[in-house]
Amino acid sequence: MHAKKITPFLYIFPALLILLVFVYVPIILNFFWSMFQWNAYTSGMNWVGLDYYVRLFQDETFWICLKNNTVYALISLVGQVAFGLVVAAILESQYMRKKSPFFRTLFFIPSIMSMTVVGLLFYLFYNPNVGPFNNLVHLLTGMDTTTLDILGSPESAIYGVIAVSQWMWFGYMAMLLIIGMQKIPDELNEAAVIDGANQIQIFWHVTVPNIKEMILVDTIVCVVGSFKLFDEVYIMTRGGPGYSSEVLAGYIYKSAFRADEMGYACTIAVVLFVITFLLSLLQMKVSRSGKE
Amino acid sequence: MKKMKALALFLAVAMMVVMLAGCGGSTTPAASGENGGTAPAAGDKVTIKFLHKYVDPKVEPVFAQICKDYEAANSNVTIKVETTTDDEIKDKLRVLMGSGDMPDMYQVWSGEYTKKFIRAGAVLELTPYLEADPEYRDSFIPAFLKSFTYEDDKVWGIPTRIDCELFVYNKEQFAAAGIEKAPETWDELMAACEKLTAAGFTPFSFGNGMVWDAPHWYGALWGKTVPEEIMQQQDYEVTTVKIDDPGYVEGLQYFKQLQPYFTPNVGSTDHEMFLQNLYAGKGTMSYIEMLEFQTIYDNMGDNFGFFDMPDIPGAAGDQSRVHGGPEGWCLSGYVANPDAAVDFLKYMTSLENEQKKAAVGHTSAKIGAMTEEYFCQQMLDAVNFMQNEATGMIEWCDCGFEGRITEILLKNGQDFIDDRLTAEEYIGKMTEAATAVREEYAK
Repeated sequence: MHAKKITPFLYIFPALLILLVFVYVPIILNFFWSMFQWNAYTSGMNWVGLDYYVRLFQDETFWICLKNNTVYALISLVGQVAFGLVVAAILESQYMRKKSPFFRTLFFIPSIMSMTVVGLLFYLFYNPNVGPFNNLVHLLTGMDTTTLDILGSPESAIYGVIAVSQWMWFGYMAMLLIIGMQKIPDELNEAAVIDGANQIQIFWHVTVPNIKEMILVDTIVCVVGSFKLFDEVYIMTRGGPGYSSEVLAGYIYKSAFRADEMGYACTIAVVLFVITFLLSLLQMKVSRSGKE
Repeated sequence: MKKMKALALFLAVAMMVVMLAGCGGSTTPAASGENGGTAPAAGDKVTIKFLHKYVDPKVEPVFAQICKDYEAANSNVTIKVETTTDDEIKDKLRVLMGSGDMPDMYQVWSGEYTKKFIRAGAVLELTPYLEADPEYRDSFIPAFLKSFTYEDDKVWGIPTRIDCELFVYNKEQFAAAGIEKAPETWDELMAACEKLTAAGFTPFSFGNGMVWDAPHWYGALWGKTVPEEIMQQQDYEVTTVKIDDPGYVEGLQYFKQLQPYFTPNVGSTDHEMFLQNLYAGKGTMSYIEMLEFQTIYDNMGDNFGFFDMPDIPGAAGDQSRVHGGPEGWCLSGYVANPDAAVDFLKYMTSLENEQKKAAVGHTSAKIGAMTEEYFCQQMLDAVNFMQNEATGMIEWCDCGFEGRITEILLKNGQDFIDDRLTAEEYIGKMTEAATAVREEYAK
């Protein structure tokens, strides 16, 4: 008995409909709305054409946000993907096999915690009045920490937020890579050992080429996630001090719901979409991958 | 185009809700719209949608019971109550406004926040109803009713929970430093700071981690240094706003004089933290909202007093106004049955019901609602001060200025404290935003 041709489409239709309504249609409409000046309190929408795009590229805050997202992405590539890869390789090595489940769980736990809880936890952890961070730094380095205020200083606030994200997500990234490594046939590793390869050579010439797809997934998740960043910043610094730790998603929210500039918020959202879309394409192109 | 806007707002909010999901909280779905019809005849079924933000577990049931009592007394009326949190209500009202599904009675803050709805035609003018019932009109503390009275003495809202910003001080530390009375002028405040420092105390427990604490100081100082007709009548209006009076820079310079007397790490100390410092005696004074007096009392007992932002003799502002403003309720401009809605509003804010709310710690703009049975003496004294000594309010500056200006006010406030912006640069940014706002509304 054969299923009707339409049956599979019926199964995917609800998901497709939700995606259309909440993802694809808004993306298209965003381009349209970004050419109007409008908010909830005015009676209509005024055509402004590309004025908001011109304003955006002259907007100092936009460039601060873009810089912060980019710094976040670059540090996350090292702290989450590269470090996660090293951790995954160590945990999957023959010497760590027995202890691996324990460490996998240990490193993975932060990623299943609520971002709100983690954000508030580190907000207090860093706080120079009540948190232990300054005392720890003083204890470890002997440095005078009386003026050290990680989240209260514009020079360090964004790095304080980024550090929390690395702590939270490197275990998750490592877990994805471990899944990839476990799919590598044992024969390949055994053959390499017979050929006299050491662990580092096995890592570079056997492991990495075989988990290329998973590394690509990790980098896309990491980079796109870096540009969608919102909650960590909102909870820990609210984009401050000033705009020093503001990110694009936060700026969209504030433009739309604080400054009542829905059209301008749409413009930022369009640019954010273009950036993440191009980065994903570029990553797939550079790695000549994305086929699995 | 209206439908397009509603769709746009719905989708925008849907996306933000997904984005904010990690931050917790939830919104109640909007009730179905029943506005826009003709007024039903007497005896017909009337539904009044009521949106408020008093979700405190002690307070919310009192509101619910008052609504039920009203329904019991008016069998043809159904009250559909929606509640949401303080953080979420502004976004929720934006969406309801854009979709044309406004509640019949809803929560507002005085100043520009209310004026936005008035400009959009979403507020029912209450003047005729109050003129028809002067006893009801005169039952509110005048300074707070005035906060909802705009052009040509038209009244647009009824004040509910009252609030203003006042200094509280640790009485024991004042006495230990040899300060005999609360400062009334700027020079007396500076002298008090010197005495406290000499006695080994930190004069102010302060923090701006929530970004709105410092702007509350700025707003109060601008009230003292900027002529009232310029700050409130010109610069709180989107069509005339300029923010170019020299009093703005002057007010910030006064703030800078106090900065050496603050507790450290201002940028990362949030409101609750500096209150804890105050309770622990780590700072002698804090500039806080009157709403918080009961909490201060719970932590400090009678060891605290209060005073208003001291006068600055010779400065151009109105020295007897107080920075603050009440929360309030407006009726929708689209309400189907205005008489029924007004009747419900009057019931909700009757003395009897205001006393019920006061019994659970809810402050009230109703004269006589707050009694010593439920509030500390300092709170009652503050209400008394507002009722008899203050000539009016300098509306919260973060509610008074238009949204874009407020965003700069809040976001760059810490930059000014940290000397990354001078007073002139900070005000310059606000002036620039003011120009854009004025030009936009002039079109």
